[in-house]
Amino acid sequence: MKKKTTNRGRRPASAHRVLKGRYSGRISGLVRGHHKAFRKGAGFFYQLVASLGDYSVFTMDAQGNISSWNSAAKAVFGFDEKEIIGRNFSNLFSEEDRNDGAPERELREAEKLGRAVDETWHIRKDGGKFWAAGAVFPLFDTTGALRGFTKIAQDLTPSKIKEDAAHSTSALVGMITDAIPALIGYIDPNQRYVFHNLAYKSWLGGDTRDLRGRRMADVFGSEAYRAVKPYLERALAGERVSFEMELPFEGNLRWVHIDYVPDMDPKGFLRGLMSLVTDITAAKRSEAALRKSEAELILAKEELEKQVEQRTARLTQVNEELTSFTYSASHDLRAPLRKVEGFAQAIALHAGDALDDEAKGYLARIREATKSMHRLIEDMLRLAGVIQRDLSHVEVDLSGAAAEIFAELQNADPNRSVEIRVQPGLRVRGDPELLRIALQNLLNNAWKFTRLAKPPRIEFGMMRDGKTYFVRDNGVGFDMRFAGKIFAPFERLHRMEDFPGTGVGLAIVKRAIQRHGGRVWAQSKPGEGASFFFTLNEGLRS
Amino acid sequence: MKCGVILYVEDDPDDIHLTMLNLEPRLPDCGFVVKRDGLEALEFLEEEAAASKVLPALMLVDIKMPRMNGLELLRRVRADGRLAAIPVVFLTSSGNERDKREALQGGAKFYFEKPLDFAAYDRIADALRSLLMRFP
Repeated sequence: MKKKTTNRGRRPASAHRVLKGRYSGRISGLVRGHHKAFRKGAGFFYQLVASLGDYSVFTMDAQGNISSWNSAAKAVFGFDEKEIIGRNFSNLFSEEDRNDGAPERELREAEKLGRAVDETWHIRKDGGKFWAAGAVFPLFDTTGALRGFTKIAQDLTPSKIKEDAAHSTSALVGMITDAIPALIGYIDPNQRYVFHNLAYKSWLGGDTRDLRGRRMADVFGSEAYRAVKPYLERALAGERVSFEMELPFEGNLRWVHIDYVPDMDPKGFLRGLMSLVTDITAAKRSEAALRKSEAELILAKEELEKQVEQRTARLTQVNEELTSFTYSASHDLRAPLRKVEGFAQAIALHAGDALDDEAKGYLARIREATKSMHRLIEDMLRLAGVIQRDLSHVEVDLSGAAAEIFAELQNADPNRSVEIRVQPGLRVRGDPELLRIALQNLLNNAWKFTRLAKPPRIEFGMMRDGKTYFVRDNGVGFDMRFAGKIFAPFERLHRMEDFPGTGVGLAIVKRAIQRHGGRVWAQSKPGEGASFFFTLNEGLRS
Repeated sequence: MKCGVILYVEDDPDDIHLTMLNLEPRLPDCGFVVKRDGLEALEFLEEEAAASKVLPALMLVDIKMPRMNGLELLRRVRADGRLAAIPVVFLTSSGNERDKREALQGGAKFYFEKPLDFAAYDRIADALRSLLMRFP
């Protein structure tokens, strides 16, 4: 090494020589003194270096023995100034790097190129490793001789970054949680607040700026605290609890939903507790209102049902009374009718020849009228019977019944010749009496109204849909305007002298079909015959 | 044809008149005894039986009568050994299926509803005649 001692107060270069080689790393009072003088002389720069925050800055001699050490370096590397001065900076490198010769390389590179950068593991005093980025710069004296080096290093360990990030994260967290109207808080195992959001201020009023460090019991007051205490204790024991309660907050009662979430460390110890308090007063109120209106609705429904029941019972009763009355009245009318008919005949028998044609005519009309009345009474009795009768539920051969009815009709009127077609094999489950009565009325009608047809044709069968029966005739037909009327009792569409009838027949048919849960309807065109359709067992049977 | 007595039990005077008006010409050889209700008829029969008189060849009975109706009378007659052999025919205004069943199951030979039309009495007379012909 060149020795040009031009500077005052400087140690002779020979001191450096002593220090290099095998003496590097040995700390002697001589070396210390040298460095002390160096520091005092550069007091201002020392101050400068000390002010560089968390950048470690230290200087080394040409062999890499540390000659100065700033506070950040101490913070990062853990070594005190006293401990590290004179020791080689390679001690700050990991064993691998040392074995590799990395420190030496760094110095050589710095000397040659003017700088050397590294980003590698460094070693702390306690032996802990951390990641740091460093830059080494050479220091030359005025003669251009290498005096030593400066190294600047920055700690890049994740924890450091985390700490920085954490700082910015916590600001973000604060911003976010402050925007939420629910109470978000975090307490330590001693129930003191570590963190809380802004909502605490509006809920608890007053100057609730910073509750950190304050106990939960004090923040919420004894009444509220007492209420949540059992849940709190469970949570502090490690259980996640959720519950709803009405609690006072600054004099206002709120319905709240509270979640306590324990924060456990991996070993199972409680780090703290997160508390989330959401105001559900509005929801509770609507819920209460809803329940109230539900209850009212149920009550109203029950009331309505009761009323319906009562009215149905009354209607049923009235219906029964009417039907029973119809039955009795019809029944009791038969006797006097029979007598009128009987005595009219008696007159004819007794005074037959003595009567003139006019009187005979009157008698005949009396007899016709009584016959008519008789048929009406019979029909009314049948209608009442159809309404009242208990239904049986057996297999009924409709085809067979139709054939029988046609035979009876032919028997009673042997001179008429009618084309009859009955679809065979039509069977159904129902009440045989009622079904027979229905068929009888329909076929009777067809028989009656085809009186003028040439030739009269009556057909009974089933439609292609497999569930609708029909009775079709080519008789006198009717105007569809009255299609609805004809099924009402006592409704007639034809003159008595043209086509006699009581007007009750179709009412009987309708009733009988309805009791089987079916429907009946008709289609016709005046002069073009009529078709009557009915279904059975479609639904409600009564 | 030798007839005998027909016991006609009926309470309605009009019905009595009309029935007699129709049956007498059709059964000219028969004698008719009319009783106004079941009780009267029963008492009459019991008296005749007690006196060992010849009992009626046939009973023609209505159902609806005061004091004792036709069905009750039928039961009592069938229960009495002396009277049980007398054939009973019902001629009633009741079209009730139950009455008809009870009458026929109770031993009645025929059950007719009182006809509107006089011509129907032909059938009734025929039926009565068929029962009377067994009378020795």
